[in-house]
Amino acid sequence: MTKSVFDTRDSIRAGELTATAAAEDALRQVEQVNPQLDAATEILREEALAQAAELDRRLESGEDPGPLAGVPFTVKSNICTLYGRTSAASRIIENHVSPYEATAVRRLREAGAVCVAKTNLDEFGMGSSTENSSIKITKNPWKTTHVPGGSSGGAAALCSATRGMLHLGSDTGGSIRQPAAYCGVTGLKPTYGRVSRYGLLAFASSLDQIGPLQHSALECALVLEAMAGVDEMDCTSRNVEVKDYVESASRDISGMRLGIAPELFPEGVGSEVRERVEQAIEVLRGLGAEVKEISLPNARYANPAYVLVSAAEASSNLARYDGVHFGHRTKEAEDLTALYKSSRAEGFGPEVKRRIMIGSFVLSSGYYDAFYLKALKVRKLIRQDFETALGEVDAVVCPTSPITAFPIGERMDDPMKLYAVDVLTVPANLASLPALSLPCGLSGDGLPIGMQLYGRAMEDDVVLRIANAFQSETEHHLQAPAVNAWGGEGEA
Amino acid sequence: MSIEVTDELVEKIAVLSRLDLTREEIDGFKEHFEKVLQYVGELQELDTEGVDPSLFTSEASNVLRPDEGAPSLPNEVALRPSPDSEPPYFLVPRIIEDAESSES
Repeated sequence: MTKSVFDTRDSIRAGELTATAAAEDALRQVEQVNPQLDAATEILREEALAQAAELDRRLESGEDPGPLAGVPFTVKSNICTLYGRTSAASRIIENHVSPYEATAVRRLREAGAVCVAKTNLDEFGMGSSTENSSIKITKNPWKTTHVPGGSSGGAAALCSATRGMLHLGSDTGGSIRQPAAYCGVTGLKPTYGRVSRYGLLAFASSLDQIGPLQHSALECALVLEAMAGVDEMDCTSRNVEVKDYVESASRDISGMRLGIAPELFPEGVGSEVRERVEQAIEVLRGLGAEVKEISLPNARYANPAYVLVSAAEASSNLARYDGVHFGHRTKEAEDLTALYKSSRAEGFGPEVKRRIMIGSFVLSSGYYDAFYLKALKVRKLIRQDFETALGEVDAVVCPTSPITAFPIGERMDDPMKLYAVDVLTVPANLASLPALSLPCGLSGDGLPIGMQLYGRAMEDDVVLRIANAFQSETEHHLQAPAVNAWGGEGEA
Repeated sequence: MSIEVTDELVEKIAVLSRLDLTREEIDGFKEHFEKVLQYVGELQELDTEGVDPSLFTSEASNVLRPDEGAPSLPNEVALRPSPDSEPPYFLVPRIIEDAESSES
């Protein structure tokens, strides 16, 4: 029926489409692809239609319910909504219904958007394939034998296979950008502090950000505009002007300086990925951008530092799942410590346990200085590298992931193989910078390849603008996956 | 720093993590710990003398507000997700022993 989020929004505002019809269409799309993709953990038909009906009443009476009136959206299941389960795809809180709402969700809802589904993820956001979900394994719509990436794999797969909705994900080390790359969509991790984290179940508080996964940079700009801004419930949210991101993303990029760092094209980057990204850089050059080589000497240490910092923060944040305040409690426990230990052992999946264990280890007496403190110092060096580089250029271009989507099961035997996939995305989280992934072509076997743009802190508009310029010139972001709900001709 | 990953080390970390582990899990963690230690070992080659550790790399600083009361979640709503509660309390196993049994 509709093509982009802008079409949905404009048709409703023009009175050509009701909020109810928009919600019905979104629900139909999700219900159509979900049996093949297992992307939505819950479809909120009843609640969505009730909200849409209320919006239609308000629209009919001449009220303006907000800039996103009637636009359907989905929410990753580690972000709190007042209806639907916020399970984090973990047994420990599998039936958890949040008593409060995330600020990002509230802002979309108050702008008139309607939540139609919650989406799948790796448990608590820990993973790069959405195979670490206690609920189900999400499939890639381009090839259902392959992973969609992760941890926002449900959002990425659903975005790829449907049209005209907003999708919220979260990104701690690449969890928006890498699945966006694997599913051929555009994903933005905003600058740390640009979007409130209130109501995002914390994995690593100094790295986590909520962001959109969409079909274009302009759609991402629209979502960012609605969600961004300071929030008194998150003291790390920054009181910096919220720009008109759609307008600023629409400007041209002539004279913009782009940096290429050899450290972000390491040996492990596949030849097809390298070629497509290099071709995309040529397109940007053709649009008037200047391209120059820069250096990020410490970038190669980012992933080991990330493994330690994120695990340390996770071990602390996940202490709250204790069998007392939320979710699962073991049947029999003779004392409080036994209750904690058994409830947690029964409730957490293997990868979450691994991260908690590593985190407790690096924070424990005797190992703190050698591992955790060392990682924090390396983090500082990485931030300084980017500050220097981004003094010379406006943005840095690199691949999003060294490889394309891989077969389900291929990397589950060895967690280290999965960690390696994050090597090009984690620097943005360590350095608190905005970073965006956008499709730049397909591999020989028909799987999407993502290009990544890093910008200066609080210059989310710059990466959106470069991506939009690229998408105005190319059609990679319009290609349809094999499984899709709008009858687009798939590649596979 | 060279570390021998023993059963004792893994068991100690499991206590700190409040996780009951099976024998099989302990073996799995030993293997995983060794791999992670090897992977992060390359950080040691980097000279970080004099570098300030960075907990946050965002430019945010302390955020203060007036110390004024404001509504928060009602007690019964906050207790709703709990597996066992008796308003206004969360229920847990007894943590203070009876006078007679406290001699043991």
